[in-house]
Amino acid sequence: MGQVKIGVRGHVVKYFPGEQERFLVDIAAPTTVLHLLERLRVDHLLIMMVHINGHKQPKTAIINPGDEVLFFSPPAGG
Amino acid sequence: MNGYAGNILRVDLTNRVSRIEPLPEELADNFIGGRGFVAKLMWDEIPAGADPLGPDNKIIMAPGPLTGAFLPGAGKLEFGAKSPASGGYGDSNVGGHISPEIKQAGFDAIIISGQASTPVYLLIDDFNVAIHEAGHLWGKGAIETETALKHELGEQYQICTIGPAGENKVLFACISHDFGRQAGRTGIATVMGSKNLKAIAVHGTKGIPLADPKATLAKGKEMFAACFAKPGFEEWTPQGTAGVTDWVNEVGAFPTRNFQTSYFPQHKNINGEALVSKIKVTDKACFACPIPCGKYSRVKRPGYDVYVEGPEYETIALIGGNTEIDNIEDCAFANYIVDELGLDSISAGNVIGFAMECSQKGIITAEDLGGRTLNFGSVDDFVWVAEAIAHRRGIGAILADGVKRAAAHFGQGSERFAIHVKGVEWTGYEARYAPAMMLSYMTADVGAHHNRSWAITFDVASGRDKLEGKAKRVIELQHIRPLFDMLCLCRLQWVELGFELDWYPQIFQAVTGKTQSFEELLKFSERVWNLTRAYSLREIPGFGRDFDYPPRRFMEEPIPDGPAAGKVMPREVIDRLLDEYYDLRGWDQRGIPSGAKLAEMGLDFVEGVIAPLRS
Ligand code: SF4
Repeated sequence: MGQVKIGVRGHVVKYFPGEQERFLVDIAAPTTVLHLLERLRVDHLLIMMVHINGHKQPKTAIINPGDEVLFFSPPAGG
Repeated sequence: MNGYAGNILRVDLTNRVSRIEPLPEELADNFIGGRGFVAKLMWDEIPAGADPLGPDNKIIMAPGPLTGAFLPGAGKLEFGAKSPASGGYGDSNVGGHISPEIKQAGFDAIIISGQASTPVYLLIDDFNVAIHEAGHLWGKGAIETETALKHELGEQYQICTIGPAGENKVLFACISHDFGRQAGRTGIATVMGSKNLKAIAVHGTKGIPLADPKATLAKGKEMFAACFAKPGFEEWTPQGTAGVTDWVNEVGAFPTRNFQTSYFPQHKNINGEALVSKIKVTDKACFACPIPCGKYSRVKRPGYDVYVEGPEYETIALIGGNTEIDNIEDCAFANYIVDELGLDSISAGNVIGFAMECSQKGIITAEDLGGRTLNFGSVDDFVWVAEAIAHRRGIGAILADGVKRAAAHFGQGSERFAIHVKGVEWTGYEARYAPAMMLSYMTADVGAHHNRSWAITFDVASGRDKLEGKAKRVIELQHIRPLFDMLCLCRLQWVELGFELDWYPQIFQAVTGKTQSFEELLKFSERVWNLTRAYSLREIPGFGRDFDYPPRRFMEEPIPDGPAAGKVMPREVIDRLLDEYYDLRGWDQRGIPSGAKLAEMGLDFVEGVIAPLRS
């Protein structure tokens, strides 16, 4: 059991629980980005890019307790 | 008037004279600035039925009330003119540094009328305004001209220019500024070319009155600090908008092979990572911007060692996917060529993709091409046809009028895959599986442009097969996003960093002293939206619903492959979207605003023109 630090950058924050840019999520065991998004009820197609602990990772990557996960919105057509 | 320089500059190129007038207070009170000024001045001042390329058309340049203040992204400039591409309302904006310079020179708007008898450039040095001969610049590239004028006049001038495409009245010519930023859409540069106006150089030294300087500074500091504190602030900047390339492919919306499909298998060769690892030299920002989305790149090819700003996402989509140029170096090289020629890279990629498909289908023959080929994937073919377009040589003379007119010329069913709305070429999002995005393109007041309403994440979040709520969201976005073009602020700080919209009325108040809620500001934006509709209704015979449909390809041909395979948006779906959109807008089913809506918007002055169209 542990926590993951979540950060959300940009306009898709409105689709995250409580529309929060930063929050903590409890996870019981390692999970994938895709599973975490599913748990948060966020369609993974809303996310352009994922960083885990400062490094770009695919949505199939594993998240461990203590990780920092950053979700990026797609740039929305200037 | 706080937030405003207080003056309008009028320039008459025919008689080579200029005049300075006070800014009417009611113009600022009712239309705010930027796009609002453009729309109102176009309605009032360009005679109905004016030839877009004749002396009666006017070019209007307008900063906004927030331009030049210490606020993130407060450096946008709005251009407007009757569009030679659509025949109706046209505007386009540019970042860089010229907008604050115009304001500091003392102007809230510049209105350029007439037609010079020989090539000229306009020189503005505070209230000293002069029209100079530009014969020595005519024929030069857009960026080459900026460089030459910087040498001639001095680094302190901010300059916008046109290239050969504008001189030769290509209908999708663009205005270039700051060595690679463009006001690209709707052919305002074409109007510059028709007036023999090669460039505008501005230097200003005046201050701008602020209602509450302390509050403006405090709010500005707070907004900059908020930028730096946002999650992912550092990670987003390196790739800029090019970073979205993979995502647009993942959702099956990437223009590919003239919109024949919506997924480009080689997209990783032209994405943000390819840009950063292979060609990027540095980041480049506009005035007061903490998130430099511009990327400066270097490209070497036999005979060339050149720098280009870009490619940004739209160029990657239209030059990369749409003409199937599958590596970032060639995309950047094609970007460099169209920038110097002064072609809008979006429309250029769209038009050349169309020409390549015509060639693929035998509609354009080797004979039409002087014996050469025009193939998808060939950067040499791309460059050859771009140069032919800019100089109106051979087949280029037909393509120079854009896909709508070229399809009318070629016939043989080519109008089915001429991808435009209202004569303005479609941009970087294929929308057969994105109803809100489709409706955004259909109803954008300047033609098929994404910047009035970018709704594709809303489609993903709310269900891409569902139509409910789409029209409502598109209308909301069509009021929010163009409000930034009235204030003349970059909207990327809002969309990319998640700035709270409530901040904007606060800074508006600090700068102008006017108290408006965000909802009230949106009403101004809705007023302008109805006015631009009225403008196109006045200018384009038969304008209305028929002009709001997408190309037949999107209504009749399912996407053949990729994540959106099989998706198509039949005409009955399009009609449902339009019906609901018009209802919610208070327009009739032909897309004409009702008298009650115009009155509600404070647009009674257009009713006399619009009422006869309803009967
Ligand atoms: S985000 Fe890009 S377009 Fe907007 S002000 Fe910054 S550099 Fe200019």
